[in-house]
Amino acid sequence: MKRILLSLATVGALSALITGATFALFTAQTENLNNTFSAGTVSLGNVALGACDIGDPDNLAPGDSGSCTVEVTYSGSLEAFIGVQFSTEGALFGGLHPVSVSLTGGEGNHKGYYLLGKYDDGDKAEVTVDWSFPIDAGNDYQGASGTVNLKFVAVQARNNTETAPGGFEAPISWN
Amino acid sequence: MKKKLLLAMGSAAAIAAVSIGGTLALFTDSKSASADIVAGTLCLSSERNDGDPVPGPMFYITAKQGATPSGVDGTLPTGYWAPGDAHKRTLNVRNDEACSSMNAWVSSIQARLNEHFGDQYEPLAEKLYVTVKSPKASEGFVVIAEGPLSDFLAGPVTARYPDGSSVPIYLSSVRQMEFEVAFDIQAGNQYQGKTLVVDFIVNAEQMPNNP
Repeated sequence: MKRILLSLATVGALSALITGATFALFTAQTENLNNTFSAGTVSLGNVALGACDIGDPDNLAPGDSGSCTVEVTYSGSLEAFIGVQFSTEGALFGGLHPVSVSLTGGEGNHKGYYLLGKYDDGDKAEVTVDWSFPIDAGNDYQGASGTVNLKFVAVQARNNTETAPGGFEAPISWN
Repeated sequence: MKKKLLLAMGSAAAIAAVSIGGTLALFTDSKSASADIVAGTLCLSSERNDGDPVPGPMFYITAKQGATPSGVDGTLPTGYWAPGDAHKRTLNVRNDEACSSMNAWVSSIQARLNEHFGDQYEPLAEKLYVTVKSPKASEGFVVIAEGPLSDFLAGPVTARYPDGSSVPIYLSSVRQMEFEVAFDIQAGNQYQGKTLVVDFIVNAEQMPNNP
């Protein structure tokens, strides 16, 4: 009986050894060094007011119209679409006969933005803001003022290009 | 009687002396054998493929970055990465008889941040998804390891065929390993201009006695 117990104890000890053993297999490795992943950039530079044809901006009369060119520099490493949105504020843009504003010089409207085109680093994008003061505005607008705000947006072109209904290349998404 | 005994003893002594001091010329033969026991070796080497000059990294932004030590420019620069980009490059892994003596299993793949490039942005690794494919008989290239690059940086990612079987690399053979890296299209602006430089490492272990 004592022998059996001894044998069992020995088997138990061996099992423990086998279970807890650490293999020391031959191994090898090989390396491929210096793999670089750099994300590109999409960045807009300065916005500058270009040529304007608006007469005397402080003394508009019903029937006047004009335009201003605004320029923005693109400075990203990735090719990008640039679009622009405008908003207005002030009494000149309210009431029954407000000053109307439109944008020209680009591809056209696309998904909430006026698309100027596709640009590379260092390119300049240009948009023309046209405005018109209705001739039948009336005295309600005397002394009124207003402001046009432009917001330029750039978005990567790669992996984000579709053909717009107008036949031009445009971004699938603006964000 | 005493004299006889002394004579007999003298004779015996003489015979013993002859026996001890004599030269025998018996027929003899002997053979010896020895066996050297030498442990085998396992070592791997690798080079990028796809027609790029070697050696050099698989993934690089500019041709200059991908140049060989002798100054031959890389021919497959990725350019800067944009969200949604994906690039494939092939690594040829050799189990060469020049330094190896046994079959092996490709056990895992891992990555390591390159210490020589200081301005690393590790979170970028979470947005770079790595898929490693390698040929399986009659099935072509199949996935053997995949995950965000951050997983490969965290430690070895096990390399297995889709059915769970091990990936062999036989002695004197070359195993092609296709690395595809994809940049998450949802990454977002916080990754603009960020860089990560990593070393890819392929690990293998002996095939004999290692089912």
